[in-house]
Amino acid sequence: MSDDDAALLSAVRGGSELAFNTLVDRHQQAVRTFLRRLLGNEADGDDMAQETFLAAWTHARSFRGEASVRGWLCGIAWRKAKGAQRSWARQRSRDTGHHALSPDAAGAATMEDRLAVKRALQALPLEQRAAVTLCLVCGFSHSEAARILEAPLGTVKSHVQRGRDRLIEEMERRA
Amino acid sequence: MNDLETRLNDALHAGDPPARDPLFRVETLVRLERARFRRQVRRTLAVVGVLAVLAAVNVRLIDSWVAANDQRVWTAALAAAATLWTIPVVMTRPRFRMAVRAFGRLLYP
Repeated sequence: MSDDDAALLSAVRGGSELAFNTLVDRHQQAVRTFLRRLLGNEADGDDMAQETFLAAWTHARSFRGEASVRGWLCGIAWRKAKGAQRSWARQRSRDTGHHALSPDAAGAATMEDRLAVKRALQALPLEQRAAVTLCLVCGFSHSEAARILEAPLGTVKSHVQRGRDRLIEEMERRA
Repeated sequence: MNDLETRLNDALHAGDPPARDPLFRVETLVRLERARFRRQVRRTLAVVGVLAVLAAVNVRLIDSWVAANDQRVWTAALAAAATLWTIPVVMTRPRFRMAVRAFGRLLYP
């Protein structure tokens, strides 16, 4: 954890809104990316990301410094997402996949690739999807992801490997 | 990294939120304020509830005070009104919250 983040969180514990603003600014991208991929929907992901930051504000004292602040935030996000698992199932059945892709953020990937990866990712079991997202998208190490997901390191490694293989298989199949 | 891996990487990162997003921050703060307001309303309602129960339990005593035009009844009413107004305001003060947290840490180190 950087000293900066530690100071920031200590200020948040003291009730500083300015520090909270900085905390949100600094970590929103990682938390939102994680939740968007996990829920398969941008609006739901952003909504839960806001809930995550509110929980971080309320429970700032629960941070023990064992992980990075970003990891701690993703841990809160993971627990919230797991709790809301039932409503995702309904969401997933409603989601048409293609419509949930924002056309303005095409980047280097083709729409076909994005759609294939999105579908394959949504087809993965929840914990596997979380492990893949944390390691391959958010850039966490396997051990950090294991701490966030409260899962054994070996399980996380295997989740990431299998998940990655499934995504590549899906892309090859559609090529 | 072969072509497939590059494509996978690009596809996984497509549609990432921006590194800085003031709108998201503002929406989060609005939500925080709403949550605080709701908490404040709940606390106020709890205080009102407690006072209502106290008044109901002591209705005879209060009745006798009112009948006797006792000054104590007006003093109590004034104190209750002041408490209702003050408690939610005080509770939202950072120093008060810090004091409560410090007290909590003393109780549960």
